[in-house]
Order: sequence, then structure tokens, then C-alpha cells
Amino acid sequence: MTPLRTSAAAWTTAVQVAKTGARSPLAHTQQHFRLEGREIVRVMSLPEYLKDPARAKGHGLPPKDASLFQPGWEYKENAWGLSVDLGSCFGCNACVVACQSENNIPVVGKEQVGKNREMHWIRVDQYYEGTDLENPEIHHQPLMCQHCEMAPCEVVCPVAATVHGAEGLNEMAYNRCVGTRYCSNNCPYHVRRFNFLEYNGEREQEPVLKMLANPDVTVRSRGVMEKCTFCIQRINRARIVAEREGRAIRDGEIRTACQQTCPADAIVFGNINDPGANVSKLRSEPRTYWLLEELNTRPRTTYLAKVTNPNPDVEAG
Amino acid sequence: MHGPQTEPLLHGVMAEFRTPEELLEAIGAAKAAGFTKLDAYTPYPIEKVLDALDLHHSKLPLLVLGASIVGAVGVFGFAYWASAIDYPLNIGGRPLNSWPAFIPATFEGAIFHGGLAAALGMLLLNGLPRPHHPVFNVPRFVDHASKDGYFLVVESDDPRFDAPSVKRFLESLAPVEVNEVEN
Repeated sequence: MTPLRTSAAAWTTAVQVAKTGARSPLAHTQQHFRLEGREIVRVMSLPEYLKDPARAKGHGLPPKDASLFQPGWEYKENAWGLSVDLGSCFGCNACVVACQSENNIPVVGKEQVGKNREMHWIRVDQYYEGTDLENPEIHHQPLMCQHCEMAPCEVVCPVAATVHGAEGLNEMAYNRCVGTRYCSNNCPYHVRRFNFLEYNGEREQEPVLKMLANPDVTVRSRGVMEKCTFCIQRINRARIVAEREGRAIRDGEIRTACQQTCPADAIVFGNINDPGANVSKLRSEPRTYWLLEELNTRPRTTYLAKVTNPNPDVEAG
Repeated sequence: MHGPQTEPLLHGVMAEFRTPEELLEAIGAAKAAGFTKLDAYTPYPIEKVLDALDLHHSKLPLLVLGASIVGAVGVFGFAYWASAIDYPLNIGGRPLNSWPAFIPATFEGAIFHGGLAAALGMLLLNGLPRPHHPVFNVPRFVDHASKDGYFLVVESDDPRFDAPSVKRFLESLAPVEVNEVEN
């Protein structure tokens, strides 16, 4: 029993810390926090941005004829895309939890995370910048499947388990997957997740746990690759409603789980073929850039560079 | 021999020589005499005998080339049909006919069909498998063909074949022995 605290010491009591000699390994999903000079996260101050707004874009996407294979596919009706504003994201990880609940993603636990077998489809990477080790600048970057139009993962699948859909989504056919994990090895963004253990078997045993899973989303089995689907179940639900009402899908009608949960509205989903859509407006901003654009993967997910404008008085401390 | 038969009674007339030089001379003489269906048997391959009998022109390379082309075109065509016509998929934004990906299988198809044609074509062109050959009806052939005998056969399907006169002709070439080879 904890004794009642008086107002004299409402929040703290006398605490002592002592070494026990015991050791416990820490489990973490990110082991490296420096950008090493690469432009994964693009940050600039407001004066820098105003001087050269195109700076964030870097080289931009390579020309269309950069590949031996000419991209001959056109997405005439809907072409889904996602925009992530790094200026808004403050790394709360709400999107990770939302995605995990929406998409029936198993919680793997400390031991499996220690083996790099975490399974969440979206992660928030952190990068530290600056020379002040005590108080570095922190950048957050939500990272999910980029839904590349020239997806490197698809070409290495020996059984064509991951292919492009008619609306440009990088789709997984779980039943076709034989678990070679080539796709994951060939993904430059490291966003594919492999199901090493039969996590959903436990749910089958308990009738109450069966109801835990989202009925709109496939429950994946062991030995199968999985990844962000752009919440395809929500896309299909909106499509069915729109078809019944005989109209096109409206902008904002589909909100991905991460977008819905983001308290900073950093994530915006929509049809990039619709020039009036919110996502298209964000994509036409000069701050927009593509992650690892030089690989010519042509991602459907774009990032908005972080523009900071700190008060000089605050900066001086 | 009993009953009706389509094959002639004789396979040919065989002469045995002591040295390859004698055999080569005999081949030259037989060709000069106008015989065309000649065959020679030596204990080991002799290039000059092949030259003399004009045996270098095999149809096998053409057969292998044809089969290889059929294999390559067939495998490439199958890959094209499977990925561009029967089950088109957008894989990594690449065109349906992503031909560089089909090349390894096409190459393998060419090699496989070429190899098969070489092995089977060799058997077919040599008339193999063949359990017995008439030349083994000659006792000296059995004893000396793979040791020290050099044999020349004028075969019976030669247009100028006439057993007694061929026999006389071969005997004039100073052989060890001349035999009629029964079928």
C-alpha cells in the first residue's frame, strides 16, 4: 500500500537509485540516427526556403527515359497518392497505433523486435542533427510503403505475389506469397514486413479475441510478406458507395487510418489525377520531394520538406 | 532364306588389307573404277579414309541448328504469350513484353533442344540402335576389325554392283582375303 501523499510532496517522494548489477537488453526498431549527409529528411530555415524554394526538390524525379524499360502504364481514372508533411509531424506515433489496429497487425513483443522482426506497416523514423549532443535537433519522418510506380520489390518476386493494381497501388496477393522475402530485400525503403510466427493462431483459440480483428482486413498467416496497402479496404468501401450513388469518389471521402488519427494533419491521402484534390495541391508545392528519388522508383508517396523559423531569442537560449 | 524378302541376298563384297596405305590405295582404285557405295572399317579413326570416302558432310549440325532455333523461338514465344497475352500483370511498371527477362529461359531452351537434337539425331542418322550388322558375318572381320585389319566393302546397292565382277576387281588389289558379305 502506498501511503497518502500530502500536499507538501504531491508529485515526488524521496527516491533513491542504486545499481542492481542485473543486465537487460533493450529492444528498439531504429539503430542509426544520423543522416550521414543524405537527404532523407530535408530541413531548411525560412530564409533559406524563401531564397530558393526549389531547394527542397533536389534533383527531382529522373527523366522518364532513365529506365531501360519505358513506363508504359497509365492510370487514367484514379491514381492514389499520399503526402506527408514533415513540418507538421512531431513524432507522436499515433499513426503507428492507428495502422496497427486498423490493419490487424500483430504485436510481436520485445524478443522479436530484438531480432528486427517488428511488423508495423508504418514507422516514424527519428534523425538527430547538430553538434550539441545534449540538445540536438530532432526530425521525425513517418515511413510507410511508398507505392512506387516502378516498384523494385515487384520485379524480384518469383511468383508474382506483389503486382500493381489498376489504380497504381502496389498490391500484395497474400495467398500467392511463398515467403522468399526477395521483395523485402530489394525494397530501398525497408517497409515490407514478414510474418515469422503464427500470431493470429492465438486469436482463433479465444472467441473473444476473434472479434479483435478488423473484419474488413485480411488476417495474414505465417510465412507471408505484408505491408502498407494505403488502407485499400477504405478505398473499396468508398468505391462501392460512390458506384451505388453513381458518382466519382469525392476528395476527402477516403481517409487512411494514419491520416484519420494524425493530430497534426501531416498525412493527406487522395487522387493525384484530380487537380482539385488536397493531395494534388500539396504535391504541387515547391516543398514536395520524393524519397530516394535518384533510384527512379517513382513513389506515389511524397514528402513536404520541413521549413523551420525559430525565434532567434529562443535559439540563443 | 525363306519366304518373300525385300533385302538383297548380299550386303556387299569385302576385301581385307594389311595397312592403311593399302586401304587408301584400294579406295582410290574403287572410286576410279566408278563405285560409289563404299565403306571402310579400320581399328582406329583415320582422317584420310574419311577424306577419301568423303564422309565429312554430316547433316547433324543443320539438325541441331534447326532444333535450337525452334527451342529458342518456342520458349520466348511461350514467355511472351504467358506474360503479355494470357495473364497480363503490371509488375514494377515495366512493359508486358519485358524481353530481357525472357532471355535466360530462351537461351536454355535453345541449348536443351539443340542438345536433344544432337543426341537423338546422331542415333537417327547412324541408324542406331542396331543389334547386328551384316559385316559381322565375315569371320576374319570379327577377329581383325578392331585389331589389325583394314577392310573395304563395296555395298550391294551400288548401281555398278555385280558380285563376281566386284570380287574379281577387289582380288586384283592384292588383299589378304575377299569375302561376300551375306545379309
